[in-house]
Amino acid sequence: MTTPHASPTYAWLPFGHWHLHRNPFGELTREQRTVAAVVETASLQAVLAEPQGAIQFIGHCGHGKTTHMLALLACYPQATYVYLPPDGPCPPIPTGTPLFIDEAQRLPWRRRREVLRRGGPLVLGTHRDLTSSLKRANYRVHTVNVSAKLSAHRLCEILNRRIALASLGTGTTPHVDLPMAQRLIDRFGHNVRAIEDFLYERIQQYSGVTCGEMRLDD
Amino acid sequence: MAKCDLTIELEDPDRAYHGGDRVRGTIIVRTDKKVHCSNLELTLGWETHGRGNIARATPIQQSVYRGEWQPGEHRYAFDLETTGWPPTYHGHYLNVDHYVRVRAKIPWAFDPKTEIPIRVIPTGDPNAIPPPEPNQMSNVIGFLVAALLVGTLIGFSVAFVFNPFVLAIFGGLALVGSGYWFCFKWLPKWKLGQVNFHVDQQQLAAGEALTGNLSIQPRGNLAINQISMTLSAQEKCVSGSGSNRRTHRHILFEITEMIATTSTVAAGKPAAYPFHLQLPDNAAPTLMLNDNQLIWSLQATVDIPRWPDWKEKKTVTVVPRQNHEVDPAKSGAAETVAPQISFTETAKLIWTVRDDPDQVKRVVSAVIGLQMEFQCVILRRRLADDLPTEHAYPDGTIVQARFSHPELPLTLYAPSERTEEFHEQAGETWQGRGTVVGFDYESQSLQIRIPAEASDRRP
Repeated sequence: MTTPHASPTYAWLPFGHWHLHRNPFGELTREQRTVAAVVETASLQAVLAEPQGAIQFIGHCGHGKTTHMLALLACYPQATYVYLPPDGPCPPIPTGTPLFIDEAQRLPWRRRREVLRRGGPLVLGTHRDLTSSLKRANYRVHTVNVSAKLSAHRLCEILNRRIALASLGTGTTPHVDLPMAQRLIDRFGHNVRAIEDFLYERIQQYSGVTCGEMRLDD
Repeated sequence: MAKCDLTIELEDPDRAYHGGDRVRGTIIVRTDKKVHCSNLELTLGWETHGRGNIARATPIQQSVYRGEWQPGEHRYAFDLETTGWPPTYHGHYLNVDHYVRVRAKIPWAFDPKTEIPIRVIPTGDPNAIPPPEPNQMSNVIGFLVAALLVGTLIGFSVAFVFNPFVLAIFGGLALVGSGYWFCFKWLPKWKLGQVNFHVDQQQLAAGEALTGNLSIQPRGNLAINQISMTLSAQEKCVSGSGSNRRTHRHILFEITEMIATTSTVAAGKPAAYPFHLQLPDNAAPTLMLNDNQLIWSLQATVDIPRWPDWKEKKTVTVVPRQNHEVDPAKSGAAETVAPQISFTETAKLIWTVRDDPDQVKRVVSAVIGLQMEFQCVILRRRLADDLPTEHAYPDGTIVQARFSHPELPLTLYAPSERTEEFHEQAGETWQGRGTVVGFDYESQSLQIRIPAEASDRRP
């Protein structure tokens, strides 16, 4: 006969009362970011099915280029991902099908020409539109402007997925509704990172609090 | 597709574990169809969360089961040993939690997984911790930055030869940099002369006192507004990399102790300023987990009138008291540790053990740096030549006094601006505040430094 186990109360966790094992808006691992990403990948996979198919995710810092890339990367076990740092020499560009290059605007023209000559499906995260270079190399280009895609509905889904990822599974967690998401967009624009920074500080105020209601915005 | 759910049940789910304790529980696998599992993997490790890039280590990994699961429920008991470092810690930007995790590797399907956090109380030596998993990205970036620096140096050398305009720009920048160094580093140092900032302990436990000494020997007469020591704990977390790299800082604890007020140090004469700062009992320990750090530091500041302040910072390592849970929420950030003992109690304790120098030393070391209110009878003024002067004020007065009950001898070090209070006062009672600075074993007297101003008591 097995002894029945007691359920944990998690009273010792700072957000245990809110059924969260951590602040949902802190840093995530690459794996967690992939799980939390709200990206419709089916149509993008169709582009990459072509041998000269290229997708470029354009947007400002913090708007979700890398998150889009990681979500798509999870669909391709044979793919290779490379990040180009702002300083220092450009790292070697590996091969992969498809090949994911983050911060592709930093690719020096000679290296860019080599990569495009190689052929094969490409996924680029970039601040600058690289359509003309890609078209010159006979690529069929699909551009996704990540900043333009942020609706209140999508933001709501992004934030609630982050909260779900931090859930202890012991009860109802705080929730972001559509009006709140719209208020956050009105205040921070399409900068998801700024919204997450704001919510991190907001939730941190409830660390150790064991009563009342959690208010995520003003 | 077959459904496969994993659950972890702990024997004692809300228990706090010390390093080396056994975590016991059961993995429960529920499937609705026949499922092939290539590996049911159980791990116990720690992970940071908050604003910094995640650091983690999984010192314990076990393969629990490989094979075919028939529909129904399958239970696997486990018994794992916890590691005592890093401890569970919940701060503002930095958090550390330990997790029991289980993942079933299912070919051609998503791997089901689950985890359960456990609370670990620090034990063991933080120097012997299993290092976090190396951040390979950091190594690559480090290499690239080094390569960039070398490349930049070569590039500029070439550019200087061919284009004097580049030389002008970088010459200007170098001038600004050296101007800053000259104003804020060299000038204060030059004014103070020989400076020795010494901390007695590089590593200390929560609840202990940090002691040390700051000594200066100026070339000319030096006026000082004040000398202060600031002990602080700061969470420093780095998120992102490259152009997205951001550093988040949060002051967790800060205490400032004034060790000298308005005074003048005579030219060529060494002046010593001992300090004593008390750490709270539940002080958070120093944590260095890749991009997630909790750093304790001590900053000495000498405020020189109409001159840039002299500042120097030293890092100290704080380790937890054994079996003491870390809770920054209760660590009393920005609070001064108030003395819990009165002067009368201190005097009685020293009087009781006065024949045992070791005991006296122990009692005195516990109260060094504490400022207390006391009353004493003035006996006479002493000459600096026949007494140890390391605690004396330059141009100040040394007074021999005694406490009343018990009759403990006292040596008072008064600043020059308060000399009047002790002038021709033999046999009179004096009352005020002073900081315990030591014990003179030769004259068996407790050494007390009188602050420059009667009401001076600033944390």
